[in-house]
Amino acid sequence: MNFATLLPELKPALDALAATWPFPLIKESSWVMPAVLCLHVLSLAVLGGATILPGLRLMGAGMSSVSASSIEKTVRPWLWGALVVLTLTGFIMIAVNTMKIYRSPAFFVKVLALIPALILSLGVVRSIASRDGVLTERARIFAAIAAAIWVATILIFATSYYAAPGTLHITIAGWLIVMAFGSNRTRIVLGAITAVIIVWMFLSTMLLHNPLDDYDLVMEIDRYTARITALVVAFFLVWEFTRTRPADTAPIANRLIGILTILAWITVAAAGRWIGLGGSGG
Amino acid sequence: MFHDLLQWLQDVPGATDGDPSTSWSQQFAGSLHLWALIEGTHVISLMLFAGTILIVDLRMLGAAFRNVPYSTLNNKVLPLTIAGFVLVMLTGFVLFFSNPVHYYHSVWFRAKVIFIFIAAANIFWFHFRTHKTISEWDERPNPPAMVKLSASISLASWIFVIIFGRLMAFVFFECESMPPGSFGYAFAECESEMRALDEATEEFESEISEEVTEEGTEEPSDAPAPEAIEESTPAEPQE
Repeated sequence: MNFATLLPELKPALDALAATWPFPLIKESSWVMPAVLCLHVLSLAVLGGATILPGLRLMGAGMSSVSASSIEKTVRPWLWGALVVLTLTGFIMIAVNTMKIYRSPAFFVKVLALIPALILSLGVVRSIASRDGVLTERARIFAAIAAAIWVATILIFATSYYAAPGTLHITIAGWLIVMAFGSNRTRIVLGAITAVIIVWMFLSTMLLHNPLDDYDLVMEIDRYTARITALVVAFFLVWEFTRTRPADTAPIANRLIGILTILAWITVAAAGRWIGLGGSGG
Repeated sequence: MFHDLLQWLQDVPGATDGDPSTSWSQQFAGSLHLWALIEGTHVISLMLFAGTILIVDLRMLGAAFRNVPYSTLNNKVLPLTIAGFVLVMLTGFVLFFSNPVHYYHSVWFRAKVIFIFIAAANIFWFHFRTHKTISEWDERPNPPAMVKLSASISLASWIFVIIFGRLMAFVFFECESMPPGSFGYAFAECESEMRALDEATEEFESEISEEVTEEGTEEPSDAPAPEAIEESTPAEPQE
């Protein structure tokens, strides 16, 4: 799925955008785009700090001794600053590569993923944090909408021919959250399952098949292994962070919203990176 | 200095029948998704690594979390930074392995490594000197100048590391395009790279001419230009 097939009427506008000053000049220049890309990745790092810390705080992790409202208020200008620079540099990247972006399935996924990420960070997380943990009915509804859009985004991402491998970044992020903040028993079980999956991948690609002869079969095995791994990690995330233990301070809904916010931004970043890595078309 | 070692690393381990294109390094570089996944992980890990180090540095500068003791960030945020750092370094080493000779002679890569060392030296200095006095400034909203200096060096060097890392994908200063004797040429140790390229070209040309003589043809006009066998640098993956 991409914008070229969904919105074919956009093409003349994009062609006009590509021809608008200063974008042809930027495309010609040897240094402007590298500078823009540097700014984009630097802002991505800032965005990481500004979304991960409040997200973890809602889970009751990270800077748990500092109030959620204080963390949210401190990172807010950095979040906005990063978003502004990312949008401006992202817009330039679109304008000098209109047709590639237009046809890119990864870009479509990225735009979709931005919806839940923005709803969560700018709306839901801010609402919960400013009330120091209280989830209002309105915020709950918005969180549910964001969660639904995010799940749909993941399904589109995972079935997108060129960019699908990018979903592994989200699986890895979820895996790291369980391994960093889960209980010891959960870590051991997930670690063991991970080891089995790695051995299975090794055996299936290296020993059972000649990768060049059985290309389609190997791809199919990879695809299903990646999907099953994602489901396993999702199960562990939900199972681990919806249990209530004596030491827990954060309500279950807040924990899930914190995790979802982090994963939503990872989805945006992963899809974004796979615009460049995953080719176009499809 | 390490050109030959890295050339060996790129061509020999894993290679069957001495064919460099079957080595682990080159198979990894040519893999369908694995390289891209590692590269993507490298970039996304920056959100964790650089994003959290920014927050710690801002506290040290007295620019954020002024009423939170530094030790809170040291205990709660720095472990996240370290986890991010481990991810970035692991993926970084694996990416280096995919094309070691090219990265070794890359001006940007060398600049990046220099700033990683500057950042590391700063960390050691902070940890073994400045951090010892933490009880004096832990709760101060505005830490002393030494702490701020460390934070500034940290921020500046990681910004440069990220910028140079991003620029590694661009071919501004390749050994082939820099004039011998220039600073960049010396900085990237281009002499060993160009010598190796010349040797490879000569070897290739002599192989071609042998083949031509064996076939009894006199016209070597089909012999590819020397550029044809130069290892093509991995171009920017079509941003």
